[in-house]
Amino acid sequence: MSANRLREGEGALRRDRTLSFTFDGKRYTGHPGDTLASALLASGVRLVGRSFKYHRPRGILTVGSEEPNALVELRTGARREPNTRATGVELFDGLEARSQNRWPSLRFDLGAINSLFSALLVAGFYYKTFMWPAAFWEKVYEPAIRRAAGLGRASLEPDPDGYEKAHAFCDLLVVGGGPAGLAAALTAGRAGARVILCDEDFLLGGRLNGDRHEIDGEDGALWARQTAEELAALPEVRIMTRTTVFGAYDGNTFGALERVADHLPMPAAHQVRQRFWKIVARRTVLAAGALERPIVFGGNDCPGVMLASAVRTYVNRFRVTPGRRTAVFTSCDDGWKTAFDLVDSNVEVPVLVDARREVPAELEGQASRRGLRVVLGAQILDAHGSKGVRGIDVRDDRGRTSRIATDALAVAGGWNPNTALSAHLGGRPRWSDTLAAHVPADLPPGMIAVGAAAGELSLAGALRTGAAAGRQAASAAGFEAAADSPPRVADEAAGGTPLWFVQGFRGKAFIDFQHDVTTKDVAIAAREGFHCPELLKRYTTLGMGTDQGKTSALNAHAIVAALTGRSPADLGAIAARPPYTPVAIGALAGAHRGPHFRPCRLTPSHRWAESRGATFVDLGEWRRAKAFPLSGETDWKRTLTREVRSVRDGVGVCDVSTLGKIDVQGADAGTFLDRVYANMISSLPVGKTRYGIMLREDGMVFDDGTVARLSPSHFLLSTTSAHAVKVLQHLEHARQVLWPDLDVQLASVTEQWAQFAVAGPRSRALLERLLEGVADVSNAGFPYLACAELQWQGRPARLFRISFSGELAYELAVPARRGEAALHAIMGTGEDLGVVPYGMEALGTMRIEKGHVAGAELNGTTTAHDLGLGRMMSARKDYIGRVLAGRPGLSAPDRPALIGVKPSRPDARLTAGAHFLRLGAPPSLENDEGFISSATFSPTLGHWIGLGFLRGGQRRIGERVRAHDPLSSGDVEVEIASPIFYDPEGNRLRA
Amino acid sequence: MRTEPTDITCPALTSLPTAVGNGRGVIATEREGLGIARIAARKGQSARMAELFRARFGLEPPNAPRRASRGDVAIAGIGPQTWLATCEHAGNTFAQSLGPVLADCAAVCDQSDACLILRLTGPRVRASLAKLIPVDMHPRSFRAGDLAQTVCGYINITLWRLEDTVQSDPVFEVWAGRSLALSLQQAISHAAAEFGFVRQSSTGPADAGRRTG
Amino acid sequence: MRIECPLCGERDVSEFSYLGDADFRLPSADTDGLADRFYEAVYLRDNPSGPHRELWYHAGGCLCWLRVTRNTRTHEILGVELATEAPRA
Repeated sequence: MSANRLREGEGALRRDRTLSFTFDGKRYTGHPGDTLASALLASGVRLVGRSFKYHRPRGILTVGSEEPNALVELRTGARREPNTRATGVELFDGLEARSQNRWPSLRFDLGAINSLFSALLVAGFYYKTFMWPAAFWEKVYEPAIRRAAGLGRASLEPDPDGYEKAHAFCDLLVVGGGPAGLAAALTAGRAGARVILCDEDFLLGGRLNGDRHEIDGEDGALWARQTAEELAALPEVRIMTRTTVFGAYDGNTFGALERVADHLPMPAAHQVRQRFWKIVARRTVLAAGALERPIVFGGNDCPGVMLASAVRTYVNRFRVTPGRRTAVFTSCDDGWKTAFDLVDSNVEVPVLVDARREVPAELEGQASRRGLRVVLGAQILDAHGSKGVRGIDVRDDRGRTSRIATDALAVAGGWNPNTALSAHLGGRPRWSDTLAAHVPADLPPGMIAVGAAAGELSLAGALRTGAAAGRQAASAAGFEAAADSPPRVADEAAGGTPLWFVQGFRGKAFIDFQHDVTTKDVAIAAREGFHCPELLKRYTTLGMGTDQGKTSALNAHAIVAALTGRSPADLGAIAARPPYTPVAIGALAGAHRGPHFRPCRLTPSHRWAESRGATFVDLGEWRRAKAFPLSGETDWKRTLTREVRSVRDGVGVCDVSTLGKIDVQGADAGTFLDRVYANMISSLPVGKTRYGIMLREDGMVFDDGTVARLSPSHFLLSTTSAHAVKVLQHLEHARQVLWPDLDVQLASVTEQWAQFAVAGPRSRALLERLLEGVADVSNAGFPYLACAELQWQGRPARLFRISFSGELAYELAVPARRGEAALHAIMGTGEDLGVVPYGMEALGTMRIEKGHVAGAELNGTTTAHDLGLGRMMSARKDYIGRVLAGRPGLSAPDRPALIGVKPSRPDARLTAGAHFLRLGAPPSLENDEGFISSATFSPTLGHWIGLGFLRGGQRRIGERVRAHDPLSSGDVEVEIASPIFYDPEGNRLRA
Repeated sequence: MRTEPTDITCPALTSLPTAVGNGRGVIATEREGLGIARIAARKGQSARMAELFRARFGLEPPNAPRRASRGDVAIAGIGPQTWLATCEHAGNTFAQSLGPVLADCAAVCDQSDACLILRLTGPRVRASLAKLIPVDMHPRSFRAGDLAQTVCGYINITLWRLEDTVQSDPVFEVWAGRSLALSLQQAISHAAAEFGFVRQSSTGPADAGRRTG
Repeated sequence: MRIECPLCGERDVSEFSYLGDADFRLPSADTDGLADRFYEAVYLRDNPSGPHRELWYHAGGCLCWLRVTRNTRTHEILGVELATEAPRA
């Protein structure tokens, strides 16, 4: 039998099974149903961590997710997780946990020396101590602070487990599975409404498991279990245990984290570790209960000092006592229950200290029946003990102090309704004098608070308000709940007088245990004027730990109020923001990580390219063939050179299906396109294609592409691959918002068509054979910029005479599923012509040789003038971007404009991103003259070339400047050239 | 309408495993051969377009995201004055044949090759899709015959609900851009893995899914 | 936040993309001081606190542009219309 495990009773444990676990390498045991915290307490382990700043010994304070102290590292290796709350860790066989923030060991921690310097580490110490000398911050102060502070260590290995997101919709979301939540879910669920009930615990019932209650003459925990069973059997009710609703968002949307496999050594096959739920709820019942608050006194952080309700839960649910002798310090009726439950479980209670002089006679009667020593009107000044409580100093109502020996102390300072979710959308809770706490007010639309979360601290109140809210939610969804009579429960005493802190203590009195904020810190902040809660928080770091001040915020505000002669009501509640408890980034990312970070689009020829040994490159969403190296081609330059020369001297084929294709039809299609393109489109004859540029309304170039006219009222646009989706959005805006009166219909047909560029002097010979009897591809029959709709191989096809490479070239489009077959046909037909497939490298190289602009130049900050396309801007019509493109600054002669560059030394390499500097000018922002946007090795010219933007543009052709790139190639002298390096007259593409 | 020759299926799918996880929680088949045409009425011509469509196919084009079907032909509203019409086994010929039928009152675009169509059924299909699709698929909210244009992960899709199978398993179809076939299948098989995901070869035109809403 | 698309029904805001003031109008070509007016229209938009009519695009849905009246303080959606059917104010 473990040291502090009670001999009798099951609680919510399965005592027939034993689980083994380690803490700091030492082996312990527990049972199914235990948390790590309850199993440690049962094993007599009280010291579980060191505090953040002073490295003080700390124990378990609570039994729930509000725990500030008992943060441990869980698991090992890649699964090591820091800062898990031992109170929420469900015990499993083989669990490994370690304490944090101690060195070299938990019991002997050198960092505890900080306690001696605590005068330096008080509130605002960051702002006061480390101001001078400034250079010391980076080199001395910050590294030292980083080493001393901080909590656990995250694993440095990639997380081996999976996460996912999921969506859920319901008529009623019930947050919290205590008596109020269960009553709400049951009422609405029985009526037929779609209900989701979430609880962060693995066991439904809330305080029914921690307290001893009777409902309809039955044990409260049993009632909870039976209710959970009934709910689970209702088809429209979903129970989600181990699930924290961590945030309320606009539009009745809630974020919840389901810990699917945290209670297992590792997730089962094909199972995730955690699941992030986005829940949309027509109505929400906030039944998140209340959090007990500590009383602030000297040494109140000593291991063994615990919240009274937590002690009660450990006793009743986990059959554990925190100490052989456990004293109770309370200022409310609720604390007495802890003493009674301890006595009834045969634990010695040396004293019950109640700060009130008068208490209900019924409580005194119960105490005397149990032979309990009660001291009224008294306070506990200090708790003593180096690694755990040994004794307490009690000052009675006449001021006499005596020391009483005890192993543990249960503290009951009253209850704070858990208002967090009610305030996530900006509503501020309201002060209740009756409760001396904030209660939800100004709730998000559709949310009702019930039970303890609403300040209804009695079981009867919880069941009544829960059922009423459930009935209301069901009715809002069109279901009528039967008027069941509420279950019978006993009346309870639930009064109290707040005691925020005691006076006259000797030791340190902690308010925020996790961030080591003491009464002294708060007093300094109050004295220096930081008394409003938001300033107090930032000045003292109170409430900035992983627990977000759940057990400390109100105590601090009440103390500041007392010091400044106000009521806590005057200070107001501090803003609550999601998440309520920490959420792993992995859970928010879900399945979208690594190769699945975002979807990947494959071209119609992808499988064929794979079979040809292509290498691939991801460009935006698309994965495209980068090059088609032949065996033996180990050097990319050799492959590039072969592919480019094959196209320039023979014929090549490239999958260009990724270009956006937008179908534009309607009587006003020409007019519409005139308004969205800077150049004239309506004059384009049927059967012809024209290059076009679109501007944004601010005058910058948005996108470029071709426009083909298939019939008087039918156009087909191509867009850059990167902007395809944005261009459609832009055109839909123009169609639906700007000019809804025009007769225009738009449709994306990008996915419908596979399109192949067949380029090179022998492309005509290839297509003559391929399209024999289908189309005349001669220069006379199908001249440069011609387009046609065909019927090829029994299916529709489209042919365009357009060229990105600068060679005689065609583009053939076929239905996407025929893409691979079409490619086979092209390769087969062109075999004796030497046709080769070419990839993005060759395509990009040829377009730079030809001076065609692409994504690197159409970067959203360039104008048509910058790109050398100024003459395309029509003066004969109005179009999007015309007026603002005409701003003088956008066509100023000293604006960086498109130029070509080549290195002065033929073997020098150029890099995109290098900035231009005059020869001899030092590299500085003032001397920056522009930059290289695209660079490539040109197999045609035999050296590197680039495109870029230079102040003065093409007026500087022939001049030498430096291309400065300290990150890679260093400093290269370059000569400014025309951006068109190859066939500037365009004879080849018209051949 | 003429049946077109067998096409090559989207190449990406052949590299995927045929089963992920254990069990048959979700069963996926790829639907092939469907002729799909996007129809957008010319300005002021939607009544005329509906009239012509009705006259030719005996179907009233719905003005809502629902599908009406008769025989091999179905039509569903996907936007204001915009529809998606389909015809079994017709492939590209369907859109080509619609052009003359609707004359000058609508823009018709062939989308037969644009869509990858995954038909999904099995007892856990809703639970699996709920991980990817942010719309309420509860039987009361999303009825047989309904469609939703939405997203699946980060992929734009059209989601269709068909009649349940005789075993009362729900049947959905997810339509997405063909280039996204690999990513879409990976996402769905990953989401369904805990329930068991099975990919079956196309069952051809005569399977249960013809009982469309 | 959730927006009720007139065609698709209520959807999560992540399906939509935002453009800004729905009542913003580009000046007509014959306006005096055209460039200044355009500059104001493109760069100097109102950003009111409270109800605001704004343009949203249902990018992850039907591709319709919507005029959404939204309270910018509370994110309450007060009304949604198709841009093609709701004339500019």
